Amino acid sequence: MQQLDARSAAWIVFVVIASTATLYLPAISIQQAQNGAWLSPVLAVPFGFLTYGLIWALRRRHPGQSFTAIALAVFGPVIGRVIVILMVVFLWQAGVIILRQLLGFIKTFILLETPILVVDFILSLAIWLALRYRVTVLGKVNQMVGFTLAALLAVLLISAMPDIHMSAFTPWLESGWKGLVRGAIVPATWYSQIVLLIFVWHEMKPDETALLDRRIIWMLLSTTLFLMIVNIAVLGVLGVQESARSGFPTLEIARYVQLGAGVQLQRLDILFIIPWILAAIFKIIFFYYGACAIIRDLLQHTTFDAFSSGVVFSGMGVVLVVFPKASITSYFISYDWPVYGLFFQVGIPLLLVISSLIRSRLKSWLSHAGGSS
Amino acid sequence: MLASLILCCFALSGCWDYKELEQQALLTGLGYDVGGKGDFLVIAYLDEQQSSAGDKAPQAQKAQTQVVVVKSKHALESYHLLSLQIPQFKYVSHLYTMVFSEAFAKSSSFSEIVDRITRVGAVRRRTSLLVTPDHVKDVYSQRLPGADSTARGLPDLVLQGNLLQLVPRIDLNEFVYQSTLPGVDAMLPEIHVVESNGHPVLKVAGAAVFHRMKMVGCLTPEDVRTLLWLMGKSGHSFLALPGFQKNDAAFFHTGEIHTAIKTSVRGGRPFADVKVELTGTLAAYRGEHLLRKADIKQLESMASRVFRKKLIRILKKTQAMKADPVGFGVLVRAQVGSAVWRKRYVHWSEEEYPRMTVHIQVKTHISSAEATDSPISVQQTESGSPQS
Amino acid sequence: MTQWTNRRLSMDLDKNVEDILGQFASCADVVLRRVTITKARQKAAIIFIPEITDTTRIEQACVRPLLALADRRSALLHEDLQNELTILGMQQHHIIDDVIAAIAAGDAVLLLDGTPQATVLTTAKWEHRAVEKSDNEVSLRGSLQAFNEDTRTNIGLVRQFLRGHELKIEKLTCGRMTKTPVHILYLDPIAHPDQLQTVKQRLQQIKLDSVLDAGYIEQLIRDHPRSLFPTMGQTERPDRVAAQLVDGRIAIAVDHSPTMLTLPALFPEFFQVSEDYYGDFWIQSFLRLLRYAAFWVSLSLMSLYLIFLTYNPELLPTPLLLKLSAARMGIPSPTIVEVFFMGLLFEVLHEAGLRLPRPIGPAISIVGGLVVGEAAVTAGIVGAATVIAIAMAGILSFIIPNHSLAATLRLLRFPLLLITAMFGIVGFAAALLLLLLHMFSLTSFGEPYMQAAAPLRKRLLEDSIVRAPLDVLFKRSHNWGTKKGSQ
Repeated sequence: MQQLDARSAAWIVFVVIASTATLYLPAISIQQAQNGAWLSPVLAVPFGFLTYGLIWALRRRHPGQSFTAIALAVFGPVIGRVIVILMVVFLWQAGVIILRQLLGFIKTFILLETPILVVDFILSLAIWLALRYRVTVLGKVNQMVGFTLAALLAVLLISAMPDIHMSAFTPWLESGWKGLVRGAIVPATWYSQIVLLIFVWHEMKPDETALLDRRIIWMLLSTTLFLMIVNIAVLGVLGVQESARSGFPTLEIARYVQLGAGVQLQRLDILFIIPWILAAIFKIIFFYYGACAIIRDLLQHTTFDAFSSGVVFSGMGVVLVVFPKASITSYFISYDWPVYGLFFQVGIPLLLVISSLIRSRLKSWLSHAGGSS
Repeated sequence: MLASLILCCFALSGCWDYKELEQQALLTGLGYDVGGKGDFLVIAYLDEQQSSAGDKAPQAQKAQTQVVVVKSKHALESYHLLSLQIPQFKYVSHLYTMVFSEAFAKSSSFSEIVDRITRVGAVRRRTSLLVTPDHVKDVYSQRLPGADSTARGLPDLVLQGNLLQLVPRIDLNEFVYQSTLPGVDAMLPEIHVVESNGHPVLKVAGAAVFHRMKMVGCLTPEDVRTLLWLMGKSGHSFLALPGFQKNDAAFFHTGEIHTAIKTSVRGGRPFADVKVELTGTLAAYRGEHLLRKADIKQLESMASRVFRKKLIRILKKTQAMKADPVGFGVLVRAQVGSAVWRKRYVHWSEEEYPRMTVHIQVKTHISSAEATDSPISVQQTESGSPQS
Repeated sequence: MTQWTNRRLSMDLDKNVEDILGQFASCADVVLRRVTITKARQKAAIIFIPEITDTTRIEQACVRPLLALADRRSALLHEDLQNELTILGMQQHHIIDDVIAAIAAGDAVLLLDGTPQATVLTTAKWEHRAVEKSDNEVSLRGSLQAFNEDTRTNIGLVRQFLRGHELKIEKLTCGRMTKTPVHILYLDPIAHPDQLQTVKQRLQQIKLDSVLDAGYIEQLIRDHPRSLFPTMGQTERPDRVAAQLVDGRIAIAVDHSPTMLTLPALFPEFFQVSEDYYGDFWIQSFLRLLRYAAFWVSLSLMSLYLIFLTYNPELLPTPLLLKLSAARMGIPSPTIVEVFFMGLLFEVLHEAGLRLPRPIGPAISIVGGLVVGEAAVTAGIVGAATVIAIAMAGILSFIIPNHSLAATLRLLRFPLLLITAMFGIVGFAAALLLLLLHMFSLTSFGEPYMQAAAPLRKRLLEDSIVRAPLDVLFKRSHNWGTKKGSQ
């Protein structure tokens, strides 16, 4: 049976973070940190390391076990079930939020007149069909998509270099360190979304777990560098005010760049949009995958076929009811999402690790006490 | 099955965002003007289908351009009223130029329109913005000097890059950036219609200066060239020098210009030290006089004096205009920090820049003197700058 | 028709002859030659079908030696035939079924009175083509020989390249009525034993009445029978088969089929041709990259053309856009109908060109070019740009060396086009996603179909999108046949 390899897992990290961060991060960070926003990813990446550290600790303490099994083992059958069900709901609604963001993007820039429900349906259908494949297949295609996105963005950023204004970066940190920290809060939640690795690690090749650590660390650092360069390009080309006002400043850069003299190759955003959409779809897929994986483990099924349609199409319906306007999503992500996103993405794994530690200490203390008496 | 697939294709042609090319009107130029009685005019320059490759094809047509003018009480509304005259879907993704009359650029509607345009995702941020002292409609109807067709005169002017040698490259993104960056004011190229061999043609006529997206003054081509030299952005150009001998005319051909600007704030007052180093060659009329080392030195100091005078003149002009196109404010802001800037210098162009003291130092180095035997024929331009 | 039974031969010659000829009732081409031999007047009979037998050999190597035994005192036994007959191949059978099968396969059967056996003499001689050049796998360098319909010839051609005892050939029979001989070729110990076992099992599970071509076998034993993508290689060239065998693959030769199947077959292999290895690696790498690019461009060109003309014309430079717009002036149908119709017409012309007899074939290209290219454009039914786009997409598909994959490519263009017409670039992206997921989920006898694409590994890339120098390729790119296997 094919298993997920370390490289695919690392690219999952890249796509989960960068697919939406490259589009949404600059505006969100620049609104808070202004011309210091290019440093926001640096302040946010520790959350990625923290999350991975928690995953690593759980992996070490519970090798080969799924998230559900760990939760049930650590918290017991009742509280464990409550925790995993809450996690299912969280993962599902996170997927819904990302779907709404993607719908807003598509509706605003690509398919302006197509009813949003139609776009919602086609994306949900694609996601549902994708969920029928094993995570190894998803990981491999995701690797291709992530690589393509990175390569095209690199071309975009290099092409944007001549248009960068150095004056946009002076004076140094005009909003101060406070603004910088505020600008790093939302990106921190994106970095902690690598918690999704918890739902795929037990399907990884056992001999590549050591390699995984190295690859993930490199990927986190590379993604951070990438996002820094994206922010630099956005700030440098558009300036602080325009970047903060624009919903998708990276897209504006893609529109601005032209290759060749005159108007030979212009409006290259169309080429970037395909890998962007695919990467965002994969992010949604991985969130839904996490939710389906927990349900599968709870119901002791072997595949997602029985309930994946329910997960995906319920999201399709709910997304437009809860977020009828894109502006609601933006507000939610900027102000409400960070706290509770971090709670589930960092807090729950932290709780698991601590509880697991306490449990094992208690066990060994009890067995010592029993032995000595 | 096949029939149903083909029927399906017909049905798909009605999909919401599916639009055939013939359903779209290609706007390559847009203009805003102020008409009589304060009405706003929007002028759309439509590029229509050119002739196809083979003349045998029945659909072969000659190149067509169309200029559509719409009048309205409100500037923002006037664009939408274009739909009354253009039945197709207005396609603005190939918009190259936007031309504004001076009257419009001085009105508050200018900033509304620019802001609106930047929000329209379909518009290229590379769209060139131009200002004209004439009527925008006339500009869109004219042709380039030497062109043999009226088609696409203005887009060609932009595309050919002639503009770039004479004025700063200002597209929509650049203009918005400079307008929103504290401490600098934006410029836009000016074009106008002149008579040439009995035909009206387009010509570059300097630049319009904006402060907070409102036009505050004009600069002549000579002024602009000087400013560009100061900003280190110009291409090769000539500096006319008064003759070192009687009845002579000498020309300094600029090669490299290195500009160093240092700002400081003393006693709450801004100061700027500008050091310019010019390196170039000399094209000079040599009558009976052989060029010697001392003559070269004399010409160098003459060139320095002439250039310094130009700089002082243009800086005084911009100070009087209360607009800082060079960007001294950016340097001051970088120095004092944004907190102090917000407190003390937020009205930089109106209050601080006019009273800024600028100390200018120019050094010229003539790398080679190409003395000629025969005099260079000199034509006087309208602005009084001799050119060869 | 009497069911074939498992009956054994009897001691009585006449009874045996009657039983055997009874099965061949109404077969006018079956011949019985009686011979009386030895002083004991022992009767013998030879049964054969002259149209598929080398009658000269029967006469010279069998009948003549038998007649020369007139002075023999003792009865002739089948065991004695080894020393009496000069024929090379002999086998003894006791079961009537086997005897009948041998006669039907072109061998002659010798029956001796007083013995419950039959000796099958290897005298089969089928009519077949000579070894010719391949029409479907044309190459500029390397061997030009191609397989024909005779399996023995084909195996012989492969043996010419692999001269060693490692080449193993196992024989099976498929098809209840046709009893088609199927040979499995592999190199021991390079071939993967599990894959070999799987192949044999799947071949034995075939329950068809007839197996007329290798295509039957391919469709029945491959991993994903419903997938559009081919997961088994097909080739007419012995050098390609030899190369595949050396690489650890398994080949299947089906009688009366000039195509040999190779497995496992991964996606990159469908872009490889034999002469990739006969030329300089720079040039061959460039040609490989060209083929890959041609595949993806051909797949998406029609859809992208539609996107550029209807959903997102902003990508096109303005002069080009104006030209395309002019080319579309007066065209009565929407772009999607134009593109779909032209694409379909191209496929019709392609198919007609394949089916028409050779003397008329060139006429199709003239008619097709004139009608489609010139008259339709001049009449204003279709736009010139559309014709160019469709033609380019079609021509690019011809660069793909493998016919099956090229056919898949041509078929996939249409649903991709329809989805793009509905949803623009979003639909295109979603369809591309599902296509990629499907391709990555495929396996070929347990090996991941898109192995070289992800995860990217240098040693797999050496012979996929580029061709590394031969000294780098010297080591096998896969660990076929080892305990590790490939990944």
